[in-house]
Amino acid sequence: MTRLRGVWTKLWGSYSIGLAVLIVGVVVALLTPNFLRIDNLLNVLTNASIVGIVGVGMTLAIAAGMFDLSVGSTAAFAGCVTLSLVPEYGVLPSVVAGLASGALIGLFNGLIITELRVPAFIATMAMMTIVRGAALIFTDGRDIYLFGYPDYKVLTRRILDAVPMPVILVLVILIILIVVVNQTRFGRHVLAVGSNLTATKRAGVRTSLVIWGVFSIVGMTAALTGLIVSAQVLTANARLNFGLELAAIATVVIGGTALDGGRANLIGTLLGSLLVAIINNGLNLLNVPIFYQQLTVGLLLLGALALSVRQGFSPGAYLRRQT
Amino acid sequence: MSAMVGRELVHTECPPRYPGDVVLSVRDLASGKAVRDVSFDLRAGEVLGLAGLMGSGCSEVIETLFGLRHMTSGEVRLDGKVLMMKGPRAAIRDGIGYVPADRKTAGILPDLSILHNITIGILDRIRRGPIIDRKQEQAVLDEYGSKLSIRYSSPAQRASNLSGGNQQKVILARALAEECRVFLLAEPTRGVDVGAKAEIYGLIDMLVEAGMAVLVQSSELPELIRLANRCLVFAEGVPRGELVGQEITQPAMMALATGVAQGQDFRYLQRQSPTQEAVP
Repeated sequence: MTRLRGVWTKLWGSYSIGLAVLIVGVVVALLTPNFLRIDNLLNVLTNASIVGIVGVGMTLAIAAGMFDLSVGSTAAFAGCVTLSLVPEYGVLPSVVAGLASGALIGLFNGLIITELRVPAFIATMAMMTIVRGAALIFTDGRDIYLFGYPDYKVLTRRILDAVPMPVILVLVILIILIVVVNQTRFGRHVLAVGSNLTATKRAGVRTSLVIWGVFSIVGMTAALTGLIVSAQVLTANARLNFGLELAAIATVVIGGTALDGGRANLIGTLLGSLLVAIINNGLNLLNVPIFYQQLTVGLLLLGALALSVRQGFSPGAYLRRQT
Repeated sequence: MSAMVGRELVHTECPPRYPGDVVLSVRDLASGKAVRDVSFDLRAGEVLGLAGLMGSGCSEVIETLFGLRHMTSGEVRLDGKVLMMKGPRAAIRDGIGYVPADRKTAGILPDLSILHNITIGILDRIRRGPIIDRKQEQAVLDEYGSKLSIRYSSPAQRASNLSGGNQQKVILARALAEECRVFLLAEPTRGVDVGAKAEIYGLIDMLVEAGMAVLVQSSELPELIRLANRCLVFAEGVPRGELVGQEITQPAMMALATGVAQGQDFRYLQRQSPTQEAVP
């Protein structure tokens, strides 16, 4: 009997988020027939992918038992950098530079954590403000517009007239990270760090390198999200992607990755971002004012956290470890 | 009084040890004020015990040797080569394994499987390109799992679900897989039930027979009597005396640890103890 229950909790743990996506999808489809229009569905997938890209990156940080609160600022900064470079250097070099700037900010996060021994939560919170400030200085507080570079639109265009580029990007990143987490030394070390940092260090693992790697990857995914958003509107400013960090953390938690680290549910994160995108889209179609979307994401996050507490997550112990 | 705490209460005797060449030689080791003037030679095939009350410095000796504490002065040689003492990673590279006293905070990786717990330090050796070779990894578990008779339901079982004794064996297996030859064991049977305790003693005997050099720090004196063929007793950060073989008794260790006896004075106490003759 207990064995059966174990199997059931395991199944529920792996598939509950998929089930939730299905149920919410059906409900929204029943409430608003427009939901099932191809255009709308692709829209939902695109929105899910944009948050999903930084979400799967964030999953890595949370698997390592940490947070990155600076992803929203990093996305804005990378968007501004890239858009300002495109006219001079062309699309591809600018995109590479934008992604590199994200990775560099991430690396800096990692260095603050390992060298200054500031807990990730506080280090990235400081960086959130610092990078946002840097973006303001870089743009002089103005909007950067991009005219006449249709190539840059490739980041949002539909490939083969069907699949939007963000969807392809998120799937590619997802597959790469699934392989990295489950099959490589780096991935194993990330989970070990999240499970018990001290023990990992004493097992001879260079944990600082692992943490630098994790935050560089998170920074790069954040930058990519910023680039896609800037390509959607062909505008960038320092206020871009405000609040992205909580949206990303929410998708991870809703997707079933435990906040206390040591485990990563990357597919769950993607489904989590899909769930949020469907709910937001449904609210849009039902003409619910946009302000309610913030509220629903917050409530979802709360619900997911409450669920993880029931499954044994101890917020008190977690916070003690974080600070 | 000594009849109550004497040697005969320990259910098993220390098996004969056959020390070989000196593997680890420590000279004038010091770490701040916690440890001073520590010198000893550790030979292959022997167990050197480190005894002492809380704060006596014996646990800090092990931490210093593994590179967890800064060595403020002294010299440590492994096979004649001077060690740089740069930290755990360097220590493992040199072949020094460590089993911490507090396996929950410093040893086990609770969320990882038993398989991944054992192989965490040797992933470089069992990968093909960037990808970890699952067959080789499984082979590592098969080898050390049976060697140390670790009991688990599946290779994917989470380490947090293992008993204390089995967790301890997993940490030992990790050090063995890392091909360590010197083992630093701090409180090797703390929080382990009696049956597993005897098993771990047996495993340590096995390591020693295989030619490993073992340093055991323990606050349980009977444990040192069971395991060690030599024992350094610490007080106030300084080794106060060395006991060899049959000299390792609780009264002798207590006398050195509390400062009642110094140097070789413990023999006086030993003569007073009738328990020595009682040992078969």
